[in-house]
Amino acid sequence: MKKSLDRMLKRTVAILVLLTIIALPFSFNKDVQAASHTAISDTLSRLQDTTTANHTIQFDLATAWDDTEALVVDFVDGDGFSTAGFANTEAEDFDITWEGAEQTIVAAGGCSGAAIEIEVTTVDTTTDTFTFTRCTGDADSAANDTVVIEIGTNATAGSAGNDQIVNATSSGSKTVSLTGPTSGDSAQFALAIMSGDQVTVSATVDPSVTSSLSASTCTLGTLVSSAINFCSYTNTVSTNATSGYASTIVENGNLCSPSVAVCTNTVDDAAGDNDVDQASEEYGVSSNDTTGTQDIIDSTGCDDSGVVEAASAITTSAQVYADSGDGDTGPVSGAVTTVCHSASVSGTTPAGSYSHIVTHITTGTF
Amino acid sequence: MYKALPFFIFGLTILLIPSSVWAFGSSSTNYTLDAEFGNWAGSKSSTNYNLTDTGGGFAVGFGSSANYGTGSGFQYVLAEIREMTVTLSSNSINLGTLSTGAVTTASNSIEVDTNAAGGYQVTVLDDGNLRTGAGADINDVSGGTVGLGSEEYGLATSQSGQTITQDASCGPDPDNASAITTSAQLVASSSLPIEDDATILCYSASISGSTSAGSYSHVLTYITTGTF
Repeated sequence: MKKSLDRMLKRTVAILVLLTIIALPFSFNKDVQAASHTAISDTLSRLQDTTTANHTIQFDLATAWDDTEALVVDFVDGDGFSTAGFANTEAEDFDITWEGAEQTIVAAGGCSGAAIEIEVTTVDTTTDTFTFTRCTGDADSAANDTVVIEIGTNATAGSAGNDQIVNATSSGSKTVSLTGPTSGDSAQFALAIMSGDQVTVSATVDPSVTSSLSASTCTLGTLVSSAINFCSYTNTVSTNATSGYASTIVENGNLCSPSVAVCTNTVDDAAGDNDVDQASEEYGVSSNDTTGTQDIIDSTGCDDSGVVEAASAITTSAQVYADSGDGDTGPVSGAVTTVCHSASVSGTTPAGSYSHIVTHITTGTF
Repeated sequence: MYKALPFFIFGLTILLIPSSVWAFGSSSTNYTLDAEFGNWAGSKSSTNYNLTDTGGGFAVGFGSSANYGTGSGFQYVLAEIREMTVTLSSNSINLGTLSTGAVTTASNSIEVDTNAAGGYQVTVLDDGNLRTGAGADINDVSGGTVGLGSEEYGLATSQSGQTITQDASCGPDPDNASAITTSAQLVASSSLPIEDDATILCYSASISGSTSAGSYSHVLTYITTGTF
């Protein structure tokens, strides 16, 4: 009986020893107390590879950022990020806020004892690492405070930044790590570097110009010395010419009787005073394009209410009577110009049937 | 032997009391699972890379649907490698010859993959209006749609709930569009980790008879930001 108990005890002890050996390694496992920052993002101004970019890194602190504690931002060296140009003597390239409160960034060794200073302790352009330390004696942040770090020319508080990080040399997901500020705190985030982060949008607008006369005849009727006779029509122009358009008028000869081809008598062109006077043998044209100055004089009404009507002589040389210059330069849509022909005769103007042909040319300047 | 037994039992008890969370621990409130069973694992590095890996886990990897994203396995819990990739299907959009008789549309897409816990946001901004070298430009759309015969140009997204308006069809009327400006505007997003999330970007334009002739262009920059 005793032997049996001894055997049982020996077996029990052997099992317990075995279990102890198995359990021993687990007993030395300790908690890893590391905490991770949350809601981490880094908004870049450009994601194109090998291109300079500003960074806006935002995250919620896992634990408070106390004085003397350092936060390290580390761009993976092997990814080809370049931090050349940055230095711990150039605090202007960095801005840091927590909970929206702008902190004063000072160069290494620049802590002055002011209340809200963070030192750019080190910048390692070989490992692409930035270390920021809360100055001794300065107020701590709260845990979970939102921290925003701007790196680049977007750091405009105080002096403006003048350096930018060059993106990784190849496209793809690139990891950046945050370590600290409290010992054990860390986090990682990724940047999506692209081989092409921009889109060029293009379109073409073809040139166009149209001109339409409202009538192809203009009948002055029976001319008398006691009145000024009129007739008019319109020229409607549309064009997308960047510099607008010009419409000209040219004749095939003076107003003739019986025809220009067989011209026995003419009605004189309006004289140099640019009008048709009642009872004078004069004939001319005006337009109502009053913007700017054209070769053809502006109309004063194109009606028979007066004894003088503005009119310019029509010649065999092209003269501009309408355009989109002088204040209305550029494309026009449905620009309507009224062309007014006017004439009067004297007692000596030969009787007859007078006519001539005027040609309108509209040209766009693209 | 009898005298030794209590010491063995006491010692074993002390050793087995979990004074800390073990490798296979978990927590609650917002729940964190800190490990899983794997056959092998480790951290490796050289000059050009850092790597952590595990093997032997069950159903590892990333999965998502419209309403969730999940990462399974040791790498997604303890040593998850933060990742985000973005691809534009095309870096040029040619709207061709614009006319007063039609609204011209063209599209490309942007696709995002990320395991960012808070998802991602894509913004767009331009370098100025769609313009010619001579300084003429096509007006930004106003009123939410590009109207036939009106000089208007804008952008729509296939996603709802963005700053840039949604146009699910890109082509058929109405041609919904928002003005693109030099300020970043949200064009695509997700609040969850997501895989192969493609968004159609629809560009539309129309002109009036007085739109200046010429070759127009401008450059848009797309910025994608993950929230990890």
